[in-house]
Amino acid sequence: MSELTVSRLSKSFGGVRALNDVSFRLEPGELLAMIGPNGAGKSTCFNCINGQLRPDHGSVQFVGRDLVGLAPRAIWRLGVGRTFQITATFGSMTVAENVQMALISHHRRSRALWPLATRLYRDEALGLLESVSMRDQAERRCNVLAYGDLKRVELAVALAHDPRLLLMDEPTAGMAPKERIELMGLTAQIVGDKNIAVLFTEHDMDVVFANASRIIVLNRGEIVAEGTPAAVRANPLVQEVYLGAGSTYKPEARPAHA
Amino acid sequence: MLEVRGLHTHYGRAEILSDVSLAVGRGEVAALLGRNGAGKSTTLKSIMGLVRVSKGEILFAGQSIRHRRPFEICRSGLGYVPEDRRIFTDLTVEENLDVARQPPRADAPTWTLERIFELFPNLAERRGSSARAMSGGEQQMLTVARTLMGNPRAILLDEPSEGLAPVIVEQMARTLQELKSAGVTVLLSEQNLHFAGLIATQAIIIEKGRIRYAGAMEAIAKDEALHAAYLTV
Amino acid sequence: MSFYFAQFLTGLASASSLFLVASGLSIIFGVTRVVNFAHGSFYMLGAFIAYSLVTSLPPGPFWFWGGVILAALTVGVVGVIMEILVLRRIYQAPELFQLVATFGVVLLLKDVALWTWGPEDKLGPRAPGFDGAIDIFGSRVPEYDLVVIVVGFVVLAGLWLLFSRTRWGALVRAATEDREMLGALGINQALLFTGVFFLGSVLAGLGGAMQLPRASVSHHMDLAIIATVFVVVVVGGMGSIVGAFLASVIISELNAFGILIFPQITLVLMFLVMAVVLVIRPWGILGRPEDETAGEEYEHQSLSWLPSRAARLAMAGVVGVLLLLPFVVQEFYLVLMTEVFILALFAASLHFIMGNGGMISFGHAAYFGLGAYGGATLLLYGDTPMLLAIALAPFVAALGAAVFGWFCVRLSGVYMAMLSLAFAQIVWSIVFQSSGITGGEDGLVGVWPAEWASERQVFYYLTLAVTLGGILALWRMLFSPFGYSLRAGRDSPRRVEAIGIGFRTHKWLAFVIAGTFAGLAGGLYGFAKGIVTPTTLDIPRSIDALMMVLLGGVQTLVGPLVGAFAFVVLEDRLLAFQYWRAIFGLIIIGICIAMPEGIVGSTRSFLTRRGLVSSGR
Repeated sequence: MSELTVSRLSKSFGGVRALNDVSFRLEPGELLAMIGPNGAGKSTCFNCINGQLRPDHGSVQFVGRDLVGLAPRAIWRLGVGRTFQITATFGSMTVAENVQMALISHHRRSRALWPLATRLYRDEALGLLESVSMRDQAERRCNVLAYGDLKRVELAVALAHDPRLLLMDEPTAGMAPKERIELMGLTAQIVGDKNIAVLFTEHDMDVVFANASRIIVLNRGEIVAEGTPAAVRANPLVQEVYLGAGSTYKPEARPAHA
Repeated sequence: MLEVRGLHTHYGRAEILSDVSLAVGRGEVAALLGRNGAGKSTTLKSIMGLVRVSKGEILFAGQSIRHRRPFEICRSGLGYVPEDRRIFTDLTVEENLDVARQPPRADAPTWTLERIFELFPNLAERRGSSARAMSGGEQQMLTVARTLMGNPRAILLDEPSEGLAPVIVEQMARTLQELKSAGVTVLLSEQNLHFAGLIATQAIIIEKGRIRYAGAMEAIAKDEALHAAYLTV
Repeated sequence: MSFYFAQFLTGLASASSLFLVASGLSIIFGVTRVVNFAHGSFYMLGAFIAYSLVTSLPPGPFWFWGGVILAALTVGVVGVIMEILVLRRIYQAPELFQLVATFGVVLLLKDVALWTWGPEDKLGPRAPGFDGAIDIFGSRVPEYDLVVIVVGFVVLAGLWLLFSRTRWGALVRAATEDREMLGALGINQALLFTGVFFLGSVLAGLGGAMQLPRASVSHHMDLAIIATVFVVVVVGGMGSIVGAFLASVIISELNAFGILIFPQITLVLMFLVMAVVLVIRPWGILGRPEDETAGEEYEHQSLSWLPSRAARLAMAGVVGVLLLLPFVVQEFYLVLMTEVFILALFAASLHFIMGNGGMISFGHAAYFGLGAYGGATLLLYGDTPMLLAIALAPFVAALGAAVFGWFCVRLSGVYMAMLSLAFAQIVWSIVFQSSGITGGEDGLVGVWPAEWASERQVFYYLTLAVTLGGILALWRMLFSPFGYSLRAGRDSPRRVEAIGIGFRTHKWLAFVIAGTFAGLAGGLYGFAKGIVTPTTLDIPRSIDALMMVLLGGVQTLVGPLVGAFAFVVLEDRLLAFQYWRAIFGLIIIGICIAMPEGIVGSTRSFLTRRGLVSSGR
């Protein structure tokens, strides 16, 4: 059975169709990239899945449960993790405490009034940090971290409740090329180990073509292409609406001029 | 045209820029390259007077602008295009352009609404509509157009390709090439080396707030060691 | 029928004058992001200045209207002076400091008015030419009311044209969104800000001056109108001129008709309007939601580490000294210290939501006062023993905090500050008006401690024990998962929701906890003073709490306690002066401009710079 099945999703804002009849599936262990021009409906699609928006039509099945109408918190509890385009961490807390917060919430203890938060689930948190190579920075405050490291902390936080599905909104935005490749490589390795399904949006075609197992292309709220990176790259329609002539990303990723 | 000497900038106690020096000649396009947090945006903001500089000198067209306020710097002919767009979404496209209007300058191209709309046909179609309703790419074009309304002699462009679809990035590159041929001096910060390579003649690499390399753009494309150290595509 | 129409016109006239003031506040906030507390003072000043001008200028319509306009323009100049001298220095500061600094101006202007015009209310002349009443469908309507209505509509139309049809209007709207960007596009924003401040202040002054023929000019006009104006802009939507107009009309008409049923109901109606609007449209009728990520650039300071062993020993030492105090000092100082303890708990309870949760309450005194009145009424009407009354007082406060907090936590930043203030003002008005139970302005007297605790020393120890327990409990909670969740939400509301924590519920619980402990402090306060008056829950008392927290340092643990001590000592010294409010106001402004980290925070920064204390890991 598919991890995530999105069927016939539609959403309008003030008469403008932001999302029109979008359907796709996502299997465990798969990294599915969603690309398309700005305003194509990527964010809307994302937000319909994570509960920030309620679609007008359609359903979002996650391991057999319909997510439509559930609050973002409830969806998180079902095992959907997410990272933000612009990092969102708790700046006044240490790296370890950031992960501990996710664990405290996972164990439903965020309203406990007596225990000392900084001592709860510490080992678990350090273990997660180990997996994203941030163990050595566990005691540093998040507001002094480098941007690339913050992204790693976000990944550790997103993994804290053992999600089965990870939603990553432009995970490498604002990072240097080398860090981009490293972060997505790390993500691919972790989700491979744990068999997590990943849906991500991305503007950096180098990252997309290097890591995605499959790509869907959105344009004006509709899916215009879907398939392997090679197939999408060669698709003339995709080249026209999105990729262009290919002068702005890695040569080997350019569409083949046949 | 634009010269920075020994610039130091702090955020709180952290030193973000350390002894940054660079120079951009008249009509030249220079790209400030480096990873996120390297100090690219801070360099541009320091020049524009948007963050306080602790030490150093900034010369624009031979005059020191270090202690001037942003609006004075803008009026002296230096335009600024911020990252993450920052258009006025409550205003119409035309109003966005109108608020940035400055009197014409003898030694810089003069931009009228008509000329702007020639360069950006998309904006012409939507001149009366709210800027909020525009797509990301159109908004990015509007930020550039808005800055041009100040008839700048030089412009600072902060990551103009960030977050844009490749087709839009190509369109942006064409626009910048047109500006270049109109004689506008440009200093842009960029992470997309491919994009920078399309328009810039000069490259400046910044890392941890220090300048590591300055030279011809073409040299960078070939220098593997430089890639490995600071860019590594 | 005709009577109701006349009543409708009366309401519309009130709406019109309320709109003048509210629109000014709204415009200023839109551009500068400063909620100007002193806006009510400008309104009062407009009335006083108009009184002086109109009574000293020759009679006749020309001089009357000339005086009104001149008064408005003078207030505009006062606004410009305030903008240049005070606000320009704190535009970059957190909004809390801006609010508190403008309250310093309120105190200052209050004494300026007292010094200039004396303590008596002033009764102005009627407007020449409009001093009669005209007959509308058989009911008599004052002509002047119609003039006020017309002025209101003219101002509304004028502002609309100004903002939508002129380049200056476009600049103002652009500045509302992103003032820094506007500066980088060649616009002198300092000039723009000053211009906007002038316009807003003129509107407040005009509102006040126009009141001259309608009501007497008093020294209570400033705080009385500011609470209503806050309600108007929160309900109408901050920054929206039309929203301010609609809200003014709704609230004034409710008042005009509610008063026919019975006077107290107007307060309840105002509360209901706010409640309904905020549940359906949290950003007001025509307001727009704030950017969710806007608050995340908050400069996160300390408050993150558990006190070190040395710090804990030092605190134990201080407690030891306090225990020995009754053996060495005079009774007078024990009384003073008892007050310090109580106010320290009050300040610590506010700090719990403010420092840790980033929630700014400008009406925290409501819960202090509810505790005080709760304890006092239990004692006086229910013959409840003292200890039981003190123990039950927090529950009264908690109930109030639960109801009002439910609405407050739906908003954030200055919106929450204004709403909490409006609620506190409603509680104050209810207490003030229900003189049958609460004794009205005179308050409840005879709230004396039980016989066994009537000795100063005994009550001192009792207070020390209760407040110390309360403060330690609050501190422990700061470091619990709950306290951390709160701080996490302050740091990043997006992230905290994304890890499954319902931030709003946590904020609400925190609000109730803070209210509970404020109530405990209030309960003790009644017995310490022997009397409970409406001043225990008025606006200045809420500001006192903020002052204590700021004085000590928001981002420090012991700040509120040090702040309470400094505050009580300061107040004790200042009350000897006739114009103590002005001095206090200047001190407040000074702290906001020069010492935003407070006493403890500044000391810590100083020691850190000297390398005497490590700055954390």
